Amino acid sequence: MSFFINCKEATHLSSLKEARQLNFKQKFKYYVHVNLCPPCKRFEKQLQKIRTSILEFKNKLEENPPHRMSESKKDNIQNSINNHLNK
Amino acid sequence: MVVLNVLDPKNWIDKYSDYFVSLTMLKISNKEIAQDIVQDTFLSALTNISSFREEASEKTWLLTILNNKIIDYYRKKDVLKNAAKYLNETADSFYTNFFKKNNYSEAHWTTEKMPINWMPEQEAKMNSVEFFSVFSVCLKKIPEKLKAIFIAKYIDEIDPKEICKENEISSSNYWTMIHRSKLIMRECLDKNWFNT
Repeated sequence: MSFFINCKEATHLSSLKEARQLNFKQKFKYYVHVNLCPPCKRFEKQLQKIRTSILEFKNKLEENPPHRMSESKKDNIQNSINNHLNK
Repeated sequence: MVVLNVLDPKNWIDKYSDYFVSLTMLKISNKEIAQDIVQDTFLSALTNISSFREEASEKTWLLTILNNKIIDYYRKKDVLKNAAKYLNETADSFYTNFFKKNNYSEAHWTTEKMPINWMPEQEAKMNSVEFFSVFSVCLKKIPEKLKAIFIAKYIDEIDPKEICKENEISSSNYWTMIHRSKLIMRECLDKNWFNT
């Protein structure tokens, strides 16, 4: 069995690696590949960056929500809530 | 001492409506639908007040309802039906976009899709509102069949095993869906955020 995997396989394994699901053999093959292949190494790094950005963004959504519910929709729901509570 | 929480529905709109709409917009990039889902969340919370446990916080409880509504939204579209067949049938046409055979390898990056270095200045702004409007556009590029899985993994950070079980997909199909979504997302950000 070869030590070498191709870029399609390596990028596939990079997800399993992120989830800590590589077995020893896969881990070895993956590291051999990314050490010889800068694009696949970048792929892993860039996906990690995307992941942490989503987390950071999610954490500040509550304080600074970029989208607002329309005022008419808010009034609508508020009325329904009030009606329900006064029943 | 145990602090018991109480619900305060009169203030839900003030406290949570913009936050919830923004959160939903991350996953469903359509404002009308996002607003409707949030409305639905508040109204069904109202009628299910008895299911609230005082040890939970109001926010966490409402967020659980919101997440279920979003899952329902995707489930109604029944997009995950025949996922295996879909993955099989589209495999060749999908991967030949990204990888091709060369002298050394069966599947090497095509010149067009090969990851190159990202500009640090742009990378530093990846937690900005501007970035996330590009992110939303890119999310739309992920086929419906793959999108819900990508969202569950990357936005909700749900454990893969749980996602597979909930959606009745095999672990190998799951990882294939994640692999494909990542390739699409990365390439789209490359073009639209980094302008490479």
